[in-house]
Amino acid sequence: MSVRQLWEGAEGDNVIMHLDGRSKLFVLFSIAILAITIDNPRTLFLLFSGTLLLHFAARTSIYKWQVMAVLLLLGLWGSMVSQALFFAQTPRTPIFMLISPDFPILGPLTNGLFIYQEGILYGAIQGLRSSIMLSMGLLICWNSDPRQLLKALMAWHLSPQVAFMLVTALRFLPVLAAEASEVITALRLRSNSKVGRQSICRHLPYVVNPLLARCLRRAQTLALSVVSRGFFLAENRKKVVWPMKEFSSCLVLALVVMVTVGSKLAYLASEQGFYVGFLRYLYDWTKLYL
Amino acid sequence: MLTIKNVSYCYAGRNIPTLKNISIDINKREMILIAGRTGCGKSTLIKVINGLLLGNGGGQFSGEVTSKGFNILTLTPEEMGLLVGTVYQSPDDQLFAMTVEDEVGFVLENHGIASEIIKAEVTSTLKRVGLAGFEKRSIHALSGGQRQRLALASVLINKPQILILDEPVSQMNPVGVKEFLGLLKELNEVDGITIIVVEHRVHELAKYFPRLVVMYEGGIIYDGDINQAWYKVGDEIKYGLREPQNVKLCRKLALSKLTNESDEVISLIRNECCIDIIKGECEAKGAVSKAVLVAKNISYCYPGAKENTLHNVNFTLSQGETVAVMGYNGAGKSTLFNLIAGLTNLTSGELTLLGGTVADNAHKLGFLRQDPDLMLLADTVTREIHWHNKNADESQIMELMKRLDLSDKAKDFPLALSKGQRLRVVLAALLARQPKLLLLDEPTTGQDQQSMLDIKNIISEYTTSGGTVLFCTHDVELAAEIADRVFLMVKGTLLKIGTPQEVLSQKNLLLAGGLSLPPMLRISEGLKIQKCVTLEEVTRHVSKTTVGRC
Repeated sequence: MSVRQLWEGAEGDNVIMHLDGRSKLFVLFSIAILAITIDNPRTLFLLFSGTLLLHFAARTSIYKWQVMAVLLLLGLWGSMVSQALFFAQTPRTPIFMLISPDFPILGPLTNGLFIYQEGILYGAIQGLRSSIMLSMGLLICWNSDPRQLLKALMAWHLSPQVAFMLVTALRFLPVLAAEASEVITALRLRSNSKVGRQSICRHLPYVVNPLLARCLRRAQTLALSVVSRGFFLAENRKKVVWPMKEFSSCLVLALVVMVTVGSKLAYLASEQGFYVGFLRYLYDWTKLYL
Repeated sequence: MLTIKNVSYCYAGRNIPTLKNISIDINKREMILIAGRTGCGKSTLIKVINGLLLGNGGGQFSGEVTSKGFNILTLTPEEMGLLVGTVYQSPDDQLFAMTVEDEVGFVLENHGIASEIIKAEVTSTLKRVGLAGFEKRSIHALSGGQRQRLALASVLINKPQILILDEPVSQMNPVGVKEFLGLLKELNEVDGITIIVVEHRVHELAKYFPRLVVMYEGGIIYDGDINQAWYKVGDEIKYGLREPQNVKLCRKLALSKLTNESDEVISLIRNECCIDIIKGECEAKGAVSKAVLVAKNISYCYPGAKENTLHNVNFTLSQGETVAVMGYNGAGKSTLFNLIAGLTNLTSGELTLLGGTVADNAHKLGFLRQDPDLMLLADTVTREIHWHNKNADESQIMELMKRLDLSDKAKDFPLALSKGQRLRVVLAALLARQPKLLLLDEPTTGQDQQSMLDIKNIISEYTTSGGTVLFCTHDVELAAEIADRVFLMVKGTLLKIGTPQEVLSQKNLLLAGGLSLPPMLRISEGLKIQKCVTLEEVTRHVSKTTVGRC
């Protein structure tokens, strides 16, 4: 599978692919809100597992799983390590000492370097949040036709111009990925040393120029092409009915999101002194699971 | 049908107008070929015809564009889409959906047509362009030629009266070109659609288009019968017209008529020239000396692929040689180039480059990729040529820029230049490093006649001074003219290695490699002289010294 194929929408039939664009975007937004609202690492992990189950439903290819795994693990690892080392809030419990405060030069400079238990947890929460969004984003990207999302955005009365700009980003993702790889190859070929021919990193600063110039040119052609094919005749376009099952499921999800956000707000309010006695069980539930 | 009267256009921020007082009448059921040097205003003229100029760029426009007396400049782009459909050079840039049927039905959907009607229309349009049964296919699973047909179908479904195609065949091999132009001709004759094509490959397309429009520096310097064009603008190199070889032969032999019809040329030569069937053995080009590149049983298999892309390829490339690699798209040409350049590693076999391994010496070669834009990174042409060439001699670089007609572009932003100019900038940057071996992937794609001559001269000078060139091309005439040897690749194997005369004069080989018949081969066969593939070979046998003519 090439770099380009990695970012192309999946072929064939799967349940995610056939969902209405509005359902996909609604689920994406809802899960984003949940990921921001929830602080409990176990619930976040469950939510994250749920997004991975959606990838199973979409029959994501092994190669794409591998790429996603690398991205997710890198994100999680980076977040946990950085927070474990540099967690600044209190209380914090050092569970491992990397540099003692008495260590010459570095000790006094850093006041000691420790791995903090609370930092690991905090990093895991932040990492899980970004992993949930990454996983959902890739799911939508790999299983959506740009047209499908465009229709969804237009159905929600977003201006055609803005909708087009948003969706074009998705449309160009495979092309961009392929071209970035091509540009690096071309840059390696422009290099006149053995090291330059083999290195990738040293060429990265130069990738932007050709990539951007080509993107602008491509975007202009695509815009001309869709405009002349009547894209901005939004009022003529047939209204597509949101399938009842999907609409109902989205309503349920909306309810879940509202309850979650409401509970969280009530709990935060109680912490600020706005305590309501009969909501005691809700406070407990929020503290335990959210 | 469409009248363009006294149209001038100057882009915002420029002092010189891109279009200067253009007037042209486009009639129903016409097939028009628009040609001219890169940067002469062809693309801007297309935007005038498809009505996308006014809302784009904010420049100064004057003149009239009318259809049946109605000013079409007042139409919205969507309304213009019903009159004029445009297919752009790269289908990848204009396709929007994921499946073929969604792409083709996009325009009808936007116009609020019922889904049953859309489905029926999509099926019939796909059948029309030869993509029947492809409805559910992903657009990413289509070949380049199929994508071009899909792009055509996506505008054709709107039933436009005029169809504009911007360099539609520039990336196609000769067989693909023939099929695609056959389709356009059918659309013109059966459906009555006016076809306008902008293309540099006039020599290949001439037989399909009765009318030729030649542009030069923003104006139209010829508009009329294509057969008359050769008399008026054909030999003027500044107009960038690449004449068909038959016409060139007529001109060279000073025949009484300039024509592209092979039978007519044969008849004219028989009547007006002396033919010597035994004269002029073809001299072998190129001297074989030190080996620059040796391939021994090289094979390559892409990761995850079931079959090898290259199978047991053997060849030797000597210093000073110019070798053309030819064959169908997907025959393995680019894979071979990538292996030589060290971008991928061999699966098996041995490749010796400049006496060492590819890993050790790949940086000593220059590789011009098919898409030169990706190799441009600097702000000015001069900086581009100096990039990683800090030790290059300044006078040598100036000379190089002069030879590649880039001297007046020294301060220009490379990516804002025309396609031909961009390619020459990259070529200059590669040559400034004085590489021992130059790999060129389709170096003349999108180049006008003058640019092609410049590139040919550069290659010739480079090989004369000891350099070696391996280039990949579909252009039979170019290979016949400049190559010392031709490698014909078919399905990952080297089917034939030989001189252009040996390879390009065998019809079965040309057919196997998806190549077109060199026009001079047909002429030489008709004249019953030794098989020839270049103009020079034919003129060795045919003399123009008939009494009273010269």
